Amino acid sequence: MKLTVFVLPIFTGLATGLIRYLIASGMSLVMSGMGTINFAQGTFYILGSLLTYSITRTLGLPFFAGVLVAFLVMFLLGAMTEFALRGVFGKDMTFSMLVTMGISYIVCDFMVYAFGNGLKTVSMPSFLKGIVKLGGGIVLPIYYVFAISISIAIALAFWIMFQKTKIGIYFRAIISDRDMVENLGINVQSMYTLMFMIGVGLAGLAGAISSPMMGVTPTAGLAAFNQIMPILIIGGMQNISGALPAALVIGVLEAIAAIFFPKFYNVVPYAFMIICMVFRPYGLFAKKVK
Amino acid sequence: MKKRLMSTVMAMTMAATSLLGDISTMAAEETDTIKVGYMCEQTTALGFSNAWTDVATAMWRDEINEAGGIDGKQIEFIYYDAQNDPTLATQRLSEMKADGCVAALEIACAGKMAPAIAEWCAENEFPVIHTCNTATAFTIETSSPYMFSCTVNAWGMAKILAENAIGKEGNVTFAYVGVDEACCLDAELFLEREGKKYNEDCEEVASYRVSWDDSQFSTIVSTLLSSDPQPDMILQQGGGSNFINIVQQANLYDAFSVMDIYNDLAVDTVSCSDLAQAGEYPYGHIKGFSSFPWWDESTREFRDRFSAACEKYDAGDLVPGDLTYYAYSCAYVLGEALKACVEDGADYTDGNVLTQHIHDVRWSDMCGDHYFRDFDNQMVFDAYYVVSEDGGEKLDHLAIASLDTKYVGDTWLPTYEEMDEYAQEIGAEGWDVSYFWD
Repeated sequence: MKLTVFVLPIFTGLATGLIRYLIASGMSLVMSGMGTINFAQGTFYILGSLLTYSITRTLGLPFFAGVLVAFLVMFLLGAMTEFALRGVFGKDMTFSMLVTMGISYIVCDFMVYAFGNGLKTVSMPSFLKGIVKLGGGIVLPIYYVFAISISIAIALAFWIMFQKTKIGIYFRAIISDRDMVENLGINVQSMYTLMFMIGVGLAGLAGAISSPMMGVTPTAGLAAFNQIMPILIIGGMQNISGALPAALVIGVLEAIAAIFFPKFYNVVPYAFMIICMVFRPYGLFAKKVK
Repeated sequence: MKKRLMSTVMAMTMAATSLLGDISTMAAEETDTIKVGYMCEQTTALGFSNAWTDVATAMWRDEINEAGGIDGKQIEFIYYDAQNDPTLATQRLSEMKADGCVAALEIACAGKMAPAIAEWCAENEFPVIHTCNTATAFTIETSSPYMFSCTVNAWGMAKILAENAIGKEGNVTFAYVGVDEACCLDAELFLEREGKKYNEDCEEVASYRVSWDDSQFSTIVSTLLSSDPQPDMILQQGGGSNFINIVQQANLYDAFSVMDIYNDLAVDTVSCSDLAQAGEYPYGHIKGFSSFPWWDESTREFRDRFSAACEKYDAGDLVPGDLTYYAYSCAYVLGEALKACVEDGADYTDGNVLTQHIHDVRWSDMCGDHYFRDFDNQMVFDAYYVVSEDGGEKLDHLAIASLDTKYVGDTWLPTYEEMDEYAQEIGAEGWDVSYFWD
């Protein structure tokens, strides 16, 4: 088997992993900060795609206007979601899971009502169409290069925000010891709101960027959610820095599996997740919690 | 005082309840209808075609009702959601029967439900007319005289693809990219089997199994392009998001410069409309099976009626396609069977009687002369091998095709002998339902 057989699938795996990372990172932020699994994250991702569809196809505005609007609307929706969760905060995680699941169903039905059950296709800007030819017959879609660049830029911005800014310090402090931060007089509630806004905003952004690469259906949220669960488990449920390597590992693993086991390639991330849960339940990229 | 107030309230409540009861009984008497169970996907990714199929079947219902109904009764659809779950589908069928439905229309549901439904309707003697393909390996393994197929037959489609894609166009190897269930897998199985009749080297080199709501086809397309040697063609199965996603990815990777996609969706408006409107449809590179040439003059009358129905239901500017036609056919057959029962003075609420009358229906329209084959209950209709073309501005750039390669009647379907041979190969018995008919 020639080495070139692996190049394109691995590149694609990395690109797919990076896009999934955008959804997973938002979810990981919320999970780490608030200890809540946001079951609606996949639905928010789809809503981001559908908003981009509306902006570009219905209103006829440029693609990047759609991306911006999708991010901003979802950013605000994040605040509303957090508000809906306040009543169950501090209670058993099951409550917040059920609330987000309910939100997921409501948003999904709203999307079916507003956009119909049919398929939606988003056109990509003409300058992002086409391929880049590398040697050995390898072609890279320009849009994937764009998606990778955007995802890396966002991942970098997210890292800088988290590590180098005051808000990031608050976030990290809340993740370590919420009560201590509260005692310092910092408004933890508003930090939670901001976490949710960023988390949901990132899902919307991922949906907007992915929209020209897929046919969007309002009911595909659960499938999107299922795709990010292995990333969270492998990265470590409450380990925000584990999401990126986990997303990349899964993307590449899936690509290699597609070469050797085409019939079962999409099962591989879940199989890997189960193995991880057995041997490293705290995640492959997280430290063991004592 | 308190006691008196309580008894007054209770008396008023009882009076109101009994009055409401009388009103509802009166309403039931006044709206005596023929109930038809309508099972479709309302909450899963398969719901993408509902806009088309709902209008097509409602159009039939309204035409019947406006003409005075059948047996003096109006047709009433009762909707059930199968949620792409075979167990739930049989539960819904039980509810239908309990609700007094005379038969079920199973519209655009997943093929994986067919075996469970076939088993259920045989046990319960309840006719089901469907658009989910079973008339291949699954029919042979799970046959039922009560189940009628009004849609593309996977084996028949494979025969057409083999003759054209393998025999005439010279493709030798193919990769399967499709849903991991029933008829879709039958298409995969029979394409290789039929392909070998034209070229002994015909071979499936890879099989990618996906789910209905899969959206990540980038891995598949990139792997196909990198494989050495590359497959000559892709056999794609599964409409809606599956189809759109693989086309989008193939466009992104410029995959159509080296391989084309073959399926039964090349000119079906349900799956193609949105891609065409977005300017993303790869004309000439999607090829395959079709039965309803919506752009042809022969279908104009149906198209006009459908447009009027779309307007009535505020469904937008939809164009009917293959799936629309199959859905309409299901309803039409049931209507004709019910009318025949009334003419014969037969009791159509008896599942056996209605099943017999459904089987006996013969009709002709723009898609040929139709009947159900005795041995597998497959509806016979004309079919085409199509290569998609741009319909032009006048047709909103929807995909159309030349109709030169036509298969009349049952010439494209697997014959009794072929099916029997296959049944013997896999050790299946009792697949032939001919015994049931008078």
